Amino acid sequence: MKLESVGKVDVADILIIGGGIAGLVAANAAKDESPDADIIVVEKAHVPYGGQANKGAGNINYLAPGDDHEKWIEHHVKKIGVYLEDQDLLRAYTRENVPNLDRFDSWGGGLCRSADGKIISLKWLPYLPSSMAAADIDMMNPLYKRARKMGVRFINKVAMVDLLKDGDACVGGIGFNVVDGTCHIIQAKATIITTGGQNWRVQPKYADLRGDGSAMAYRAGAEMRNCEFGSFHVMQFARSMEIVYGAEEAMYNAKGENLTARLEDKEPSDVDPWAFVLWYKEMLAGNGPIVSKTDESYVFTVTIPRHLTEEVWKRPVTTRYWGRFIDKQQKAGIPYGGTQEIFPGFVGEHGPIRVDHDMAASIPGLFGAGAASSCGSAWAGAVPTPPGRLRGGGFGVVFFTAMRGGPAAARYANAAPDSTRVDAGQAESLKRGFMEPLERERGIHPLELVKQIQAAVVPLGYCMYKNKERLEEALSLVLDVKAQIPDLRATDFHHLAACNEVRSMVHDAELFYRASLERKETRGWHIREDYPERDDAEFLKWIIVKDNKGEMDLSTEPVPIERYTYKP
Amino acid sequence: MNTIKVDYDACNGCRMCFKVCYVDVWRYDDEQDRPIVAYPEDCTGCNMCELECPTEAIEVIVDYENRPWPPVIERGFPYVPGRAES
Repeated sequence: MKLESVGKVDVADILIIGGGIAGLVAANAAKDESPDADIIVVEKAHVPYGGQANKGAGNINYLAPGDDHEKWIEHHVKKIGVYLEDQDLLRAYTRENVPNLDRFDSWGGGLCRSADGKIISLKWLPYLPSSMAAADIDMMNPLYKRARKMGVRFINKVAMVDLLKDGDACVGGIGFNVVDGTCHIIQAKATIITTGGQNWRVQPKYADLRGDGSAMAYRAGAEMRNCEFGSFHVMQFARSMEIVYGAEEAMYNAKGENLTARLEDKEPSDVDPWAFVLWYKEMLAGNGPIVSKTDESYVFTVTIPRHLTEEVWKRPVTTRYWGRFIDKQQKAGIPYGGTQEIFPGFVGEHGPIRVDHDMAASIPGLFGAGAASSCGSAWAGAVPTPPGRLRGGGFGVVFFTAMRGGPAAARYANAAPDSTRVDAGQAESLKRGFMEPLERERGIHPLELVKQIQAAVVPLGYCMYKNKERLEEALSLVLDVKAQIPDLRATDFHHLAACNEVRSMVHDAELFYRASLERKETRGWHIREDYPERDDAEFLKWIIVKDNKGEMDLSTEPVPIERYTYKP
Repeated sequence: MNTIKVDYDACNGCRMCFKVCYVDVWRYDDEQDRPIVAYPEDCTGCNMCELECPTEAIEVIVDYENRPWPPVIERGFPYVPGRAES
């Protein structure tokens, strides 16, 4: 059988799966390293509009002049990652932060600077040891143009489903066009997954993050790490369902009691996970609804107006984008601000592909960058993939990981033999598998399973305030959904993509709950009702998950804390 | 469900709506040379198609009362945001 009979074949040195900000930064950095490298970026939507970067606030974690780097590392280890960081990598992040921002800017990223060329920075919260820089949220446009000018090829509207293997090594990927169904096979010496974190289609702005990268890497044999931390939340206004930063600074129950006063950490590093636990407990006790008096919130009244108006940073695209949301809500009679009911909005940010300091995954030829592998890189420790509790950390992690991973993949491809090959039989078998839902005359609509998997992931009692009984119940629900995957039916290629995505969502949910059951302690974002203390004797370890003949095989690996500066 | 209205008299066929949608709501009808709202149930209300349309031919009407997410099915108590009993 010829490979060309299976689908449209392209050959490249480097395949980048995901054309959001991480994919674009990786492509640019790889080209800088190896200008002759032939690079293909495959994007499920359309470059440069997919992913998260153009739907956020454009804030970038920045270690500004005057910020004490050592104090910031210490803050991160003690408050955010709680000793589960790879502290070598955290130090590298800190060291590379400013050079990375300058490099992004030299590519046309458009950092907001003063007339004398200095980066204009702000503090999210006055006591935090790092700052925030900013760029307008159309910053992917110049990165896209630069990459194209350097010869990077782009394939839009193609959903990659699986990685291709030659022995143990990854030699490319296979997927299909979501409009016309054409099967695409990309043969490559090195592959970088930049598909973002997992959102389980819950948070509208990030609803395109469906975990395909994590699932395809796992199926190809790659190890996963820190899977138990992917349940990030932010408070949302109940009526508009818009994220409300700083709401947890002024939470009150229906009795008028100040709930924020009950939170132990008086200077949290941005979002405090215990605020969501408190919301849950108060609601269970019948003390809801919970409101936020946003007029009492520093972030809401001081930080956000500075960030989203043009008071400090001139960002017309950002201002217009957020202004449209707020205008529409106000026209619909929904207030923005004041005293309003709030609830924990699920974000997820599950990004567990394990990578090393070069962002290489555990199988040869595979790399990960951006949110898809941010938990798995362990640089941030016991938190969901940044941004997590590090406001602006999304860009920070993208610059750091993609500026390392892109060049490392280029070096790997340069050293790889030209004899790389893709087996046509393997490609055909994978294609037959992911096209199957189209063949069924009857079956389950993918959106039905999306609802079911969301019901297994979103409840706070499952994903945020955990105990053995509830975790097992949630895992059981996930496995019920998993059992229905063979019955998925698609009537077109849009829904065929949804079928594969829901399989990825189930996969990530199973990883999350199995790892959550394994970590019998409370640390960082992982909060166990039945194990309320941190247990450094037993759990100063990373939990690793790997496929073992169709079963999830869990093991642990000690954090090499003895050689790190900060120890419990 | 959100409603997306297209003023086909104003539409110039540039396909920006099709390009900017990150959740694949749009298709383009080549025969009639115009965009189609193919999967409105997947629309997240991000307004990108409306904002990027050069002829302002698109209006996204967000259904605030019946948003499909998040399906907040809290364990232990039913909860719909904005409709909690005080």
